[in-house]
Amino acid sequence: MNKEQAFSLLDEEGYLLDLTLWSKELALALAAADQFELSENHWEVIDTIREFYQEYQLSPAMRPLVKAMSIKYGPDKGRSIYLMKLFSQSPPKQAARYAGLPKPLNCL
Amino acid sequence: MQSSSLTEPSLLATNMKKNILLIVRNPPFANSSNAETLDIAFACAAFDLPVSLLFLNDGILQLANNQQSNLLEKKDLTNNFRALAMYDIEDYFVIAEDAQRYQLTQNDLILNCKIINKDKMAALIRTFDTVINL
Repeated sequence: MNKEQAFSLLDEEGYLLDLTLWSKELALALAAADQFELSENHWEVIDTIREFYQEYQLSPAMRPLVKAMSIKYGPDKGRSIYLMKLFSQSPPKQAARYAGLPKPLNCL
Repeated sequence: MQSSSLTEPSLLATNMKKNILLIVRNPPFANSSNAETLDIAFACAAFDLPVSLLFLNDGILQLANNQQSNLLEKKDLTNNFRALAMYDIEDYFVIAEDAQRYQLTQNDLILNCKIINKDKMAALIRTFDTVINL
């Protein structure tokens, strides 16, 4: 998927309009447009955030994302400093964008 | 600098945090007030403010499990309310008389609530610095 195809699916803030249209290719295209490389560690966060959305029907802010990471991958990865080092922008927002989820609310 | 003076500012900050009670008093699907109360709860959590919720009168119905909103074509907030624990908001109250009126037991509720008698409600509310009632 190229950048133009990926961007045609987004709202003006860069979040996916139709959540059912998400694919790994889309995540890769969005990251590439940010000149951001997705490692195994990033995919863990993207998977976690998608599971969170499935269960709670909302995109997590920092605290619940940290908690969900901690539950799934243990305390070393369930820390905000870990997530902040991993991402270049606000982790809940950047990860939600790549994960094809709505913009998280109440996110500082 | 004495070591005690290092800890004092943080202690002070903790003590100055106002604890907040959000009262949910509308049934689900009635209007947007329950969704707005949830928004306040999540916003408070972002600022580390201690939040509790009291589900009062028809508000207890928001916690009833097995809601079927598809016929109403309205968003079911059940999963959103279940997310409160992920925001470290875990202090929930219901009134025994409300539970009795709707024949609800703890097993029927989506959150693990403290059940208090109505005559204890005023005392409970007085323990909070701020009460928000939508």
